Amino acid sequence: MAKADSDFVAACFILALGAFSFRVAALMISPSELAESPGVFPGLMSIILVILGAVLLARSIRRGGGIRLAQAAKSTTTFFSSEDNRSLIPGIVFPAIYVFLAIPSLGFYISSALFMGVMFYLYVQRWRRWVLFPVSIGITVMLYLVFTIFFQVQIW
Amino acid sequence: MDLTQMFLGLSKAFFDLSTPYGIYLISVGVAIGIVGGALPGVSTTMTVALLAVVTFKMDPLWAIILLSSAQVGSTYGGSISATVLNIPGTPASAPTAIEGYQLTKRGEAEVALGINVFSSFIGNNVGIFLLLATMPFFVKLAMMFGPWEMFWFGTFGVFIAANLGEGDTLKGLIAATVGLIMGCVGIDPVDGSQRYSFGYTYMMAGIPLIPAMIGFFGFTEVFSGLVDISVKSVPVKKVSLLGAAKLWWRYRWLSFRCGILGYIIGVAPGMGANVACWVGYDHAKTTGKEPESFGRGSLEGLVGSETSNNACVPGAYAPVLSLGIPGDAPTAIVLGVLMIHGVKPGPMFLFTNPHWLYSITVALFVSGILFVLIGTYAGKGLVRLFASTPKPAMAAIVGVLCSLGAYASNSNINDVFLAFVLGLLGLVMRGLGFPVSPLVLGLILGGDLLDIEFRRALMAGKGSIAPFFTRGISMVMIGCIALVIFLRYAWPHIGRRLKERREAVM
Repeated sequence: MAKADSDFVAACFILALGAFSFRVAALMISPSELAESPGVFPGLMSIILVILGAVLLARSIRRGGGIRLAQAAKSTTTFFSSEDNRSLIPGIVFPAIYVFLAIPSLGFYISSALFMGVMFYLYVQRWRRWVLFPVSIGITVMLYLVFTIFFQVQIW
Repeated sequence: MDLTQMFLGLSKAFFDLSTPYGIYLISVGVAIGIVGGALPGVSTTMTVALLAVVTFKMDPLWAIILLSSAQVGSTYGGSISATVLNIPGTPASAPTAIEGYQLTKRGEAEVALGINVFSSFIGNNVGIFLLLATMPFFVKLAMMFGPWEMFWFGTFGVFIAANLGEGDTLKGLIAATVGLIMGCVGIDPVDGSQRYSFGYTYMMAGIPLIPAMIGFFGFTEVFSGLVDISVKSVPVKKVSLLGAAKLWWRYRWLSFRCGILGYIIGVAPGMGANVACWVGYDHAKTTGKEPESFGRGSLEGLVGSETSNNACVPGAYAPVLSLGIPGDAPTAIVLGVLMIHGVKPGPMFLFTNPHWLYSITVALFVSGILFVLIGTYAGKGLVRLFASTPKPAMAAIVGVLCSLGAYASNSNINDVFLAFVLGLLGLVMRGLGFPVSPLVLGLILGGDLLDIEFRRALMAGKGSIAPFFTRGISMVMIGCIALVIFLRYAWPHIGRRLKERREAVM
């Protein structure tokens, strides 16, 4: 996606965010007690956000930006299939599985050892295979000793 | 705060920190800081944020001593990988990479590393001296600050972060404004009502700072991939401290000037070592005796960059201790930790707790000595270790540390989820050209400072906004913001026109 197009989309989002934020803040403003109203500061910031969003929108339009769905679809496909960005997918998906599924089910230390072991196994070619899981377990044990035993940080 | 008081305070602090626990804590802080700083992709801010989670059970002063030592170590540590691998360990070592790596290619890595360690040491000490010398002035100034001035000072900090940080200024201001709104989530500090929580219990306490910073500075790096390191060999010749000192002596006046510049930048909120290094480098280039050597391994460039970025660290503690406003992102984390401990620095703080200034100063000084020792003898070994660890392995380990860090701050699994989501947001922002630092500074200053001071000012002025623009110090603050706008936008055009006129005349 061209920079002007991405700025256009970002500006639309920012305008919507600013407008929504102002709507919520306005409900918390009491004109008779303006200084004490909880919505005064966020309301003011929301107005500033809308103004800045409008400036970004105007700038992107001046540079030829707009919503071009066909080009956006094409650039999304190119983005995910390019060599540089392919590593983004496992770089986000595997940590997501680790954070949202593994940690709540297995606890920190077991899920961390598994996560590191899987990442090493899939992506580290330089090390011998038999060393990968012992290394991940070793690092996890070290973290346990440092955080839970030594610094007494409660981690399950 | 007179000289006798200061001397007695420093002596007491020195004896208090000379205990085995004190020396141990500072050593651990410096060592972790150097490792974090030398590791490409792990910034000083991230190192301090990750270390912050182990400080919650500590006495608040010891916590700050640990974190400040890590900050000093990390700021220096970035120069190691910058010099040997041409990869700045932290953004504050970017100019060091330009010059240091050229020296490494010529087989003079030990010269560069020696100059780096000595310049960093001098910068740290210049900053410490200026911190002690200027603190009475800051305390007096802080006493003159009313809510209007606190509001403008915080606004100045956020504005500077948006303007001088990486990327587009407009996007920086947008990011800062979003951060300020995010800072308002949770319980209103003035009247106790809920804001922007939409009924979610987790959001009622606001967005927690440590997980947010771990998300923006930690997970974002994990997702976008830590910098890959590929190096065949690392120079092994030992650095001679005496030789480094003799080399530095040739550039001592440049070093002192850059130290002063670095300190001033540290004091101004929102800038930090990432800006200081370039200011010092630029000053060295402008005033140096060997301008033709810049870009080809200039020792003056190294001196300028490293002295300046390390002098910035003590400088960043001046506004924190006197006004409760962070000088840079790592001290913003320090401030967050203090708030978690129930300590609120501000104008009256140093009157009732002068030992904090002396203890932090002594800790910074001892940290400087330790990083010279650790960096000189362990620096190149660290680089070998990083070079042999593949990028996905490093990303996995850092991802685990981020999750651990986010959880440990409140023992709440939702903090880990939040850190992850904010990391994704940081990645998207980076892809769209929006800088993250202004958003984080806005998040820190929004709810706890700017909002409160703005409304306090309105209440004190009985609803009038006139005092925001008519009080003396407020006008100075507004003048500083206007000066930044002028220098950023108008001056380049004026400068170009003057140059064209001069050339036309010639």
